[in-house]
Amino acid sequence: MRKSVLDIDNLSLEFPVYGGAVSAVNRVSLHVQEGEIVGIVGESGSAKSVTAMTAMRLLPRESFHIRSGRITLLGHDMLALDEQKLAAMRGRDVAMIFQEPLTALNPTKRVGAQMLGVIRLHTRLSEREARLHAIKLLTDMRINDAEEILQRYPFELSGGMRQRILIGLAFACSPKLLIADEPTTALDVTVQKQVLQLLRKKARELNTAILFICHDLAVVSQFCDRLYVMYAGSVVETGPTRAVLSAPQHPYTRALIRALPESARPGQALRSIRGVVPNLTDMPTGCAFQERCDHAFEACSSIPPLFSLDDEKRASACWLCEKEHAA
Amino acid sequence: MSVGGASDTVLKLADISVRFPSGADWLGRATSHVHALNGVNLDVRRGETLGIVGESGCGKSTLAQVLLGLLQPSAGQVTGAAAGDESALQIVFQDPQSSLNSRMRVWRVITEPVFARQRKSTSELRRLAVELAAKVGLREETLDRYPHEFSGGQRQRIAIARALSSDPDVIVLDEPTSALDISVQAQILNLLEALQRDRNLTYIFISHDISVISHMCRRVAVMYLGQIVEIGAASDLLTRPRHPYTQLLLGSVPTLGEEGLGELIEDTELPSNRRLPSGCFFFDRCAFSKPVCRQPQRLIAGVRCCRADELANAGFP
Repeated sequence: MRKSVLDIDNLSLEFPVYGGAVSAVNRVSLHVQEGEIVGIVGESGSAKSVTAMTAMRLLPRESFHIRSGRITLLGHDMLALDEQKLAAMRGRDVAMIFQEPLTALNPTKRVGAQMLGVIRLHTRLSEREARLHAIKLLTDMRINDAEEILQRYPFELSGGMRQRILIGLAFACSPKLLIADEPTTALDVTVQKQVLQLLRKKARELNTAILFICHDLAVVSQFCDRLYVMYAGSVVETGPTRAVLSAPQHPYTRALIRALPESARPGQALRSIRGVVPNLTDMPTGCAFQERCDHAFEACSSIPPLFSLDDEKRASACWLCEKEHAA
Repeated sequence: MSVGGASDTVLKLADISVRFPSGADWLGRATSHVHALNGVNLDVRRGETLGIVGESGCGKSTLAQVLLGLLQPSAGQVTGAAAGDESALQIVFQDPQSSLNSRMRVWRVITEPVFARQRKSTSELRRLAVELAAKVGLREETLDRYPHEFSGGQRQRIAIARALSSDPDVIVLDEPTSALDISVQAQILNLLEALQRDRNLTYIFISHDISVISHMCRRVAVMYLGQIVEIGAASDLLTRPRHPYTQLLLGSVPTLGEEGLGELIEDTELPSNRRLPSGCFFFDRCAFSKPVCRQPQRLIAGVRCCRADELANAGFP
C-alpha cells in the first residue's frame, strides 16, 4: 500500500455573494498517493482549480466558507494549519505551477535572482551552491545555456522556456506533491509535448505525485495514471485513465467524449451537450446533470453519491450506473 | 500550389511579405525588421473552408489581417472578387470578451458593421439584429443586454451574428473556439457549418487545434515562420504529411486513447524572425536536414521541402 499524499474527504465549499452563496465545491472526495499522477478534468466552472487551490489554502482567507469536509496533506490538517506553517510547506513539500508562466514570474527580476530566492528560502545552501543547483534544475529541463538564462529577464524568453523554468523551480526542493493547473494550455503542441515529457520524467525520478488539472481530455489520456471527472463542483466519475476514457460510465463523461471533433467524421454534425451548466448560486435539487442528461429518470431528483463500480477503483456518481451495476 | 482557375477564386494572395520595423536610430529609421510573412501565395476558393495551422509566431494572424485588408503588405498583392471590399470580408476573433464593445447593447454590437457603412434607420437595424440573432440561436429578449451578461459561448454567437450582418462572402475565423469548453465548441462548430451551407460562405479557419481543423476544413495550409510549408487536401495532408515540420506538428498532437508520450523532443525554440535563415527555414529543428537543405526552398506541388518525396517514400526514417 502506497502512502497517501493528499486526501480530500467530502469537501463542500461556498463563496458568499450578495444575497446568497455560490456552491463552488460539492461533496468532493479526492485522493492522491505517493508518486502518482492524477488528473482532474472538467469544463470551466466545474471547480477543478478551486479544489486544488483549497488543498493548498491559496484562496483569500475571508472569501470562502467551508460547509463540510476535511483536507489532509502529508499528514497535516490543511484547514487548521496556521499561516506560518503553510508558508513553510508551500514550495518545499508542495509546489504549484500555473497556466500562464509570465504572470508567475516577477517581470522586474532576473530569472536567476528569482530561482535563487526560492531555493535559499527553503534550503541551507550557500549562494554558490544554490546557483549550481539552479543550473542543474534548468539543465534537467533541457535548457542548454542555463548559466546565460539565469541572467535574463522573463520577458526575453519564450513561453515554453518560461514554463520549463517554473517546472524546474517547482522541483527545486523535491516536493512530495506538485499541483499543475493547466500548465501547457498556453503552449504550442510541440512545446506542450516536450513540457509534459520533462514534467513526467522529473516526477518519476523524485517520486513526486502530480495533481494535474486540465480541460483537454487527450492530454490527460496520455499523461495521467488516474483521473477525476468534475461537473458543476462535484466529482461525477473516477478511475484509471484508460478505463474511464475508453469506457466512460457517467452520462456526462460519455457526452463530453462524444462532443469532441475527433468523435465525428469530417462534415458530420458534432453531438453537442444540450442546455447549459446549472447556476451555482441556485443548484437544482438532485443530480446536477439531470437537466442535460438523456437518461434522467425519477431517482435523479436526489443527489447520487459515488458508486463503486469494480475493484479497479472505478466509481461513478449516477443512479443509472448504480441500477445497472446492481442488476 | 494546386491549379486554380476552374474554381472561383474569391481572394488571391501573390507573394505577400509583411515586415514590421523594430528599433530606431536617432533619425527614427528602423534599425531592424521583424519578418512576419515571407512570400505567401494562396488562393481562397468560393464556398470552401480553408484551414490555416501553425504555432504561435508563424504569421497566422498577420495573414488574417492581410486577407481582411487591415494591413498593407510590404510586398505582393491581394486580388480577387472580395479583395478590398469591406462588406464582403468579416472576422470572428478568439476572445469574445475583448472583441465586443462592452458599452454597447447587443443589438448595437451586432449591427455595427452595417451602422458604420450604410445609412439605415434604427428600426431597420433593430429588425436586422432580431433576424441575425435568430440565425445564431440568441433569444430576441436578450438583445437589449450588454455583452458581459452572456457566457463565452453566447458571446461567440454574438460575434458571429455581427460578422454576418454585412452579408459577407468571406469570414476569417481566427481561433473561434479556442476559448470555449468542449461542449460549447461543438455547438459553435455546428452553427458555423449550418451557416456556411445556408449562405454559401467562404471560411478561412485559423486554428492551432488539429482536431478542429480536420473536422471543419477540406483544404489545409501549414505555416512556419511566415511561410506556407505545406498545403493540400485535409484528408491527405493530415494523414500523410510530406513536410518534416507537418510531421513533427501532427506527431505532437495529443490523441485520446494513445498512451505514453513517446520520445523526448529536444529542441523546441523557434528561430528568430528578425534575421531569417538563408536556406530552409526549418533547417535547425529538422531531424532530416542534409547539406542540400542549405539552399532556399520553394513550394513545389504543395510542399516546401526538397527532400519531401524521398522522405515520404522512406516513411520518415
